[in-house]
Formats: sequence, structure tokens, C-alpha cells
Amino acid sequence: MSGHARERLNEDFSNPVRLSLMGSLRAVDEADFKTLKETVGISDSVLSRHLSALEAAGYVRIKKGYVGKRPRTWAKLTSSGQEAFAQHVQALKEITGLA
Amino acid sequence: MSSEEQMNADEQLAALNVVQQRMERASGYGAKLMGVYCVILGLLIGSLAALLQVYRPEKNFTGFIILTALFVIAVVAISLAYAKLYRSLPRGFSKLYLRGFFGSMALYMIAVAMLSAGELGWGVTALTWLVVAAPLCITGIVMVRK
Repeated sequence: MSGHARERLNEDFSNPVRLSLMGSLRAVDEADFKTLKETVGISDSVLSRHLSALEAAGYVRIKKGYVGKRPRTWAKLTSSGQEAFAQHVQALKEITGLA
Repeated sequence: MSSEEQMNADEQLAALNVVQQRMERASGYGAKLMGVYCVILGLLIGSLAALLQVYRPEKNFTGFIILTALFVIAVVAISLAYAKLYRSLPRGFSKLYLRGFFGSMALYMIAVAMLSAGELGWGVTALTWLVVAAPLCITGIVMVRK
């Protein structure tokens, strides 16, 4: 690995909500919209906006479906999302002297 | 939480710890739910494998059809209940489930193949039930304990 750890920080995760979403999703195989909303503590619209942005960047896969008649949305990290976030966390640890 | 405020490295790591702990608590429920589902499914598949030794299609076709229908209804019912309650699953649990499921299914296939070997005693039938159910039940217990 070359360069200062600061250079390896991923700008896509500098936003607190996106960082929290990625951190939450890293702990699970997948999670539904409501669980993510409660875990991160944000509104539906904010969650929806940031999840869409992470999906557009290829870090998160969103699956929509129905349970009975109720629509439900699931999110999970893609393999590139897992890799990019692991690098970001590693860079954070190096900056703070934890690595 | 403001969605626009930038955080320094320490704050980011602290925020990550908080959300990961919250998500682990939330997915603990998912782990228990999946564990219970695995145990019930394992017992059902094991029961079917064992009861097929009793209700052999060539000897008791009606019993065989009723048994198979009850099995399908039970599996559909617990799967629907699971889908309704399921919200999140800890990392790696999907693979763990698949391993247990395919383990039980492989043993179920062996049990079905054993039908052609003729009638087995009650001891072997009970053993068939336990052996076929074991991979999913053990997986389920591991999930609940985690």
C-alpha cells in the first residue's frame, strides 16, 4: 500500500449517513429498510436518497419485494462495496494510529 | 444526525462503532429467528424422511400423499412466517444456512434411496429422522447461541 492513508480515504464515505449505512451493512448479510432506518436514526427520505447514491456508486445492492401485500426493501453490500469500505476503514485506523 | 456535517477520522471510527453495535443488536433477533427456522425445517425434513419408511408409496399411497401434502403445507407455512418476521441477518449466516440445508437434503436423498432396500426397523427409522434433521438442527442451535 502506498501514499499517506489520508489519500486512501474514500470521498463517497465521508458523509456521516453513508458511512453509517456502510458500517451497518458490513455487519449483516442484508437488512431491510426499517432496520437500517432505526439503526442509523434517519428519516425515510434521507435513507432512500443515500441508499440510492450508494447503489449508483456500485457499493450497495437494493432488492425490492413484497411480504404479503406490503412492499419491502432490502439492502446489502456488493463485493466492491465491501472492498472499498474495508480500505476506507483501514485508512481511518492508520490515520488515528489504531492500525 | 446531520447528513451534511463532515467528520474527522476519530469521529468516523467512533460513529462506526456505534452503528455496528446497534446493527449487531438488531441482527441478533434475525439470528435467533433464522436459528429457530432452521431447527423446525430440519425436524420437518427429518420427519418426512423417517415417515416415508412407514408410509411407503407402494404400500400406502394415500398415506404417502397425505404425508407429502402435510409436509409441503408445513414448510410453506413456516417459510411465510419467517419471511414476514425476517428483517436482517448477521454476516455469514446465509452461507451457514445453505450448508445446513444442503447437508440435510443430501442425507434426505440417501434416506429416500434407502426405501428400495426394503422395510427398516423402528430403530433405523428413528435414526434416519435424527441423522437427516441433524445438519439443519445443529446449524439452527449454533445460530441461536451466537
